[in-house]
Formats: sequence, C-alpha cells, structure tokens
Amino acid sequence: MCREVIGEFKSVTKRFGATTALDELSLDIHRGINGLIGHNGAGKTTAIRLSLGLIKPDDGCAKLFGFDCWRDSMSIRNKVGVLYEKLAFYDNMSGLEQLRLMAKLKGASDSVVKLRKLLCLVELDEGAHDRRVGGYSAGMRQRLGLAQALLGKPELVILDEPTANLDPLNRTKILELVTFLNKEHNISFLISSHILPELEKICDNFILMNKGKLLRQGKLEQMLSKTSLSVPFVKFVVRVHPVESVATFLEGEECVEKLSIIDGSLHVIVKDVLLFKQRLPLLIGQAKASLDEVKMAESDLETVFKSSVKEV
Amino acid sequence: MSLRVGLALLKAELDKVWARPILEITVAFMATMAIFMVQPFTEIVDHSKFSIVFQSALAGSVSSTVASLLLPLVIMCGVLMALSFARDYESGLMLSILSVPVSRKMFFAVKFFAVVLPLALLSWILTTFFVGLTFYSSPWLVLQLSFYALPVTFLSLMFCGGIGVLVALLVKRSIPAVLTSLLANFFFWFLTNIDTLSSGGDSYANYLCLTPYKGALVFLNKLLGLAPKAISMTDTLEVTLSAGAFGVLAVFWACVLVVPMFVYFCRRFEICE
Amino acid sequence: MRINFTRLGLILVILGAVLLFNVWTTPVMQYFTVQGMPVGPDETFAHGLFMAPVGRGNIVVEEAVLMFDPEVGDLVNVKFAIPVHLVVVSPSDIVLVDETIVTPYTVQVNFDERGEYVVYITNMADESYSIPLSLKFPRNGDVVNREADKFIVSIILTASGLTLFCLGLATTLFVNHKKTGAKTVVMSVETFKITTMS
Repeated sequence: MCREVIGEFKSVTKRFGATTALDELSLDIHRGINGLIGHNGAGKTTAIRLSLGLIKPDDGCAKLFGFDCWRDSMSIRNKVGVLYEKLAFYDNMSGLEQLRLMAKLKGASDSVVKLRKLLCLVELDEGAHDRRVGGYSAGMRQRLGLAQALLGKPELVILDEPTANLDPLNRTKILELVTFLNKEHNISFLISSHILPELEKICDNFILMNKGKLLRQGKLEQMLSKTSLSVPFVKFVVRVHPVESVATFLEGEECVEKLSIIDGSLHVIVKDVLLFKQRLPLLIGQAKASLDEVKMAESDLETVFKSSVKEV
Repeated sequence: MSLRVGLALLKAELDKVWARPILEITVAFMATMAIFMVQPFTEIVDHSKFSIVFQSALAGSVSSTVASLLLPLVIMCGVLMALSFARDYESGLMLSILSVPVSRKMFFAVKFFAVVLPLALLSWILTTFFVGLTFYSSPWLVLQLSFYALPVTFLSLMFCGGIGVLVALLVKRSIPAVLTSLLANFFFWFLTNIDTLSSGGDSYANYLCLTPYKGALVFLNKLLGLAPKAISMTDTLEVTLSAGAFGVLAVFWACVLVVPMFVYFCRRFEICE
Repeated sequence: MRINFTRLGLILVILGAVLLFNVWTTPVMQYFTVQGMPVGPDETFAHGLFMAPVGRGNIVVEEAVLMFDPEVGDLVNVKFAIPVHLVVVSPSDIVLVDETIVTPYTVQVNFDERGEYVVYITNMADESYSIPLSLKFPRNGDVVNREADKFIVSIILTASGLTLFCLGLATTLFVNHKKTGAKTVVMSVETFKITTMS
C-alpha cells in the first residue's frame, strides 16, 4: 500500500560556508513511521531544521503538508511536534509548568489534568511533575521533551535520537508508545536514530542519507532487494548438526571470507550474501546435516546501510 | 491567541532573566549609584525666587540621578541582553521555542522587552523615590519631572539592548558576547563623562553630545528645562540645538541597531546550533 | 519574574541599607552663608531656607554691611551693629522666632520639618545695609546633624524588609517540612501494609 506523502524535498541544497550539508537532496516523507538514517554529518539534523523553517535552503524546495518550509513555517509548526537531540527547557520551571507553557505556545489545552496524564503516558514519575527541570536527569528530560513534542495532537512528530538517554527497558516502552500513537491516533513519525535494530522493528519507511545526499528510500524489503551483491563481510550465525561437516563444506566456498565454530554454532563472515544464501541449503544437504537456525549477526537494515554507504 | 502566547512567553522570559539574584544585584547596584548623587539639599535664596530655585534644584537632582543610573543600566542591559540571546541559542532553547508556532517577531520582541522594560521601570521608580525623599514637599512636581526619566532611560536602553542583540546574534557564544557587549556599551557610556562644554565650539568635544547616551542626557536636561553651562563664548551644539532635535536623535539611536537586528532575526537568521 | 515575600523583603532591606548608609555618611554641611541684597530703612527682606529635618541649628544674622556711604560718595565695606526685627516661620506657617535683635545675633532653631523656612529681616536702622544670613551646625562631640526623615524611612524599609524576608523564609520552610512530613506518613503506611501482608 502506497502511503500518502506528507513531506517532500526536491533537490534541496544547503551550504554552510565551504561545507555542503545537503547536496541536491530529494526525499519523501510518508504517513506512518519513517526512519531517517545516516552517519554523523550526513545532514539529518540539517534536513530536520530545514523542514521546520529554522534554516533556509540555498536551492530547491522543501514542503511539509503542502506548505513551503521556509515561507510558511508557522503553518507547518502548527502540525508538527519535535524532540531534538539537544534538549533545552526553562530550568527554573517545573516539568508541569514547562509543559503548560509549551501548550499555551502551541495553542493546545493547558489543563493540568490532561498534562499530568500526558506526562504519565511518557513514564515521567508523578513526583517529578512539580520539580524543577534543572534537577531532572537526562532520561527525565528526554521524557519531558517527548511529552512536549506530543502536545496538541500533531500530525507529524519528528524525533531526533529519542532513545539516546534511556535504559533498554524504557527504550522499548518509548518505541511501543510510538507504534501505539501511530496506530491509534494516526500520528506520523520521522525518527532519526543510530540504533538501527530499533528502527527496523517499528518503521514502515526508511530514508538513508550520506554526505547530504539521499542513498536509498523505501520499505526495508524493497531496499534489501536492491542491495548490491558485493556486500562485504556480513556475519551469519548458523546452528546446524553436525557443525564440523558443514564447516568443512563451507570452507572452500568463494563467498565465505572466514569461518569459526563458537559454542557449537558456525560464525560465518560472508563476502557475497546472495550467493551464500543460494549455496547454504545445498551444502547442508551435501553434508547431510540438519539446520536449526540461520540469522544475520547484524540487522538487515545495518546491512543495507553499510552496503549503501560503501557503494557511494 | 497571539496576545495569550506573547504574555505566556513574556512571563517565562521575565522569570528566567530576573531569577534570583539578578534582580537583587541590579537593585543594589542602581540604588548605590543613585543615592550617592543625592546630597542633602540646603539652600538659602531670596524668598521671591524660591520656587524657581526649588524647581531647578529638583530638575538638577533628576538629571544627576539619571546620569548616575546610566552606568548600572548600561552594564545590566548589555550583559542580560547578550546573555539572553546567546545562551538561548547555545543551549538550544531558541530552537525549541521557534519549533512551536511562535513567530520570530514575537520571540524577538518578548526577549528584548523582557530586559529593557523592567530596567526602565526600575530606574524610573528609583529616580522618583530618591529624588522624592529630598523634595517630597512638592510631590506633584517630583512626579512630573521624574516622569521624563522614563522615556529617556527607555530610549537609552533600546540602544544598549541593540548592541547586546547585535553582538549575541553575530558571536553566538555566551561569554564572548557578554564581554563584547559590555566593552562596547562601556565605551559609549565613557563618552558621557567627557565634558562637552569645557572646550570651544570648534573642538571635537562639541560633537560628543550627538553620541547615544550623552545625547539622551542632554535631551533629558532640555526636557527638564536645565540650561547648560556655556563656558565658551562660541555656542556649542548642546546649547544651540533644541530639545526636539535631541529627541529625534535619541529615537534615532534607539532604533539604529534594534530595527536592523529585528529584521535580520525575522528574515535571515538561521538556527544551526 | 517571581517575586515572593523573601525576594521582596530582600529588595527592601537592600534599599533600606543603602539609604541608611547614605544618611549616616552624609550629614548636613556645617556652615553656609549668603550676602543678601541691600535693605533700606524699615524695609523687610525675606530669605527662603530650604531645610531638611536635621534637628537643632543656628541661624546667624551677621553684622550689617554698609556698602555705599552717601556722605563719602564711594563704596565702603564697613560692618555695623544695627537693630533688626527677625521673624522665622516654619514650612507649616508656625512662627518660630519673632524678636527684635541687634546684629550680629545667633538664634537656635529646631529644624524638624522639611521645606522652606522663611526668615524675615526688617532693617530698623536709618541707613541701607546689606544684612548677611548664615546657617551653622556646629559639631559638638558626637552630635551630628542628619536628615531625620530619610533616616526614619531607611529604618522602616530595613525593618519591614527583614520582617517580610523572615516571613517568607518561615513559610517556605514550613511548606517544605509539610511536604516531607506527608511523604514520610505515606511511606510509613505503605511499609505497614507490606509488613502486615507478609
């Protein structure tokens, strides 16, 4: 199903002095949960700020919800909520007061009851609601920032490293919350993160960037099918019985770079993923072995990302 | 809706800028500078001319009090304005606020007047208070004459704030912005201490009355009806130009930096931090 | 800006302290004089004295000075003792002094109001004289003339500021103590429940 496009960049270029942060970037943001992936310095933050009218593009055109990002940024900001990587609040205010202020600025309801519910939704401890933000931990500030981003039921929420300061349990909760809000309240998300396995679980659409350019865009399956055959050094873990006989057969294969047996499993460093996937069943049959499990030691998304960057 | 937004933002900014102990330090600094300019007023004059002398002394007190308040005003305004913009830019708070539907115009206006207005009001209140302590036998006259302090200090603070904003938006770092703003404002304040009437009309000192803070003080003196002491035979600009001319000059200085900075911030300033 | 009792009290204390320091360190000038215009026979010249409530001081009618001698036809500068009628009226129109004196003459006046004290000097001599007027506040030991009204204002400001400050501090401490106390009670109840259940 082709989801509605709510944002588009058309050949957007942005330079800061001698540095080209965005180089004729063209991408689409769809309804649903979009993952924005790229190295440090790929241009993700620049693209986010440009979409909110905080930066003016040198060339090209960026639009969200049909509004020009620079000229009509107020209209966009009415529909968008943002959680930046760098969180800043009025530190002399309590968490609740901060949220009330932002609710007023957004034109949303500043009812204390509703705001407390929102803070509970993002798992901010009730005792912290009336404490000064200056005394919050990094994780608490992250949750407050998320609550801020969700104020006023925006159509699109942009999250820049939303799980950066959270422990694994809370990371899972945040991701579950994102999925819940998308399904139940039809809120779209654009999530920029380095933790690719997390994105892989929840995102419908992926946008890969490198050096200010778009590398790939689309669903994960689409991108996997387009991935170059010369993917270097992807690691697989193969659980077979008997492991030694399969190892013997695999050793001579040209798609295999390196092989080792660790804790009864075969750890295979693969040069050519497609060839390996074609040859493995045959070799297991020849070795008369039984296959328990094959999995990539890194996610599919990481594979796609690495291969895409390498190609460039 | 926009008024509600503006007021909410103004309240937050006032709480942030004037948090403890900034207000207390400002009051102490200004009170110290103001009070020591007010000497015990004791005068023996011809009874028939008493009211003129009294009014003149009152006006002189207002003038000297405002002149003495200029240093703390300039320091506090320069520091707070530069800090307000630069620190918010550095910390990311500017980014957060401008990512919600708050117009840049409102944001700039709120941040600017959150510093300027309290300082102008504070200087007016302190001037009225300290002058009133000496001249309370004519309270209405005190209120009337000290009222002139409000627009004059407001216009001076506009210029001072303009320097602070200019430096903050160019430098974008808190401490360098504060130091630069302080230096620049101190330089202009220093010009007020050079006696523009001590040399002849041909001297460069004649034109110092056209500088921002000196011009504002001369404007105040003209409003108060205080005649400048013309030592030289040649008429100086301070003597020849009217109150209206100095008023226009004060408004010019008030706007010369603030307006371009306002336009720049609204139309071209990019938040890349 | 959030201004609570504590902050308001602190600001008042600062203002009061600054004013008090100023009043204490700037007493009234000890001596000043004015020459005065020539006053003809039976004419009255009025001086206006703007004074603060500084306590006791001396109004001195100095020796009269004959500026121009018509017999000589030239300027002279000779001092004479002449009879004058002296009236001193306070700012609230109370006659403080009403005497016929011979110059030079010192009269002690209690300056306990701020405002214009009017000194009427009537020349009771036959010639026109200039009659200088002086104000003296001699320093006698520890007695120093200070502005009493400003002193009172500074004391009021300081005292009220301290009161507000202490009130604000007490309120804050009480509120914080109440919050901590409530938490302790809640925790105790919870602990009791857990203990009972186990």
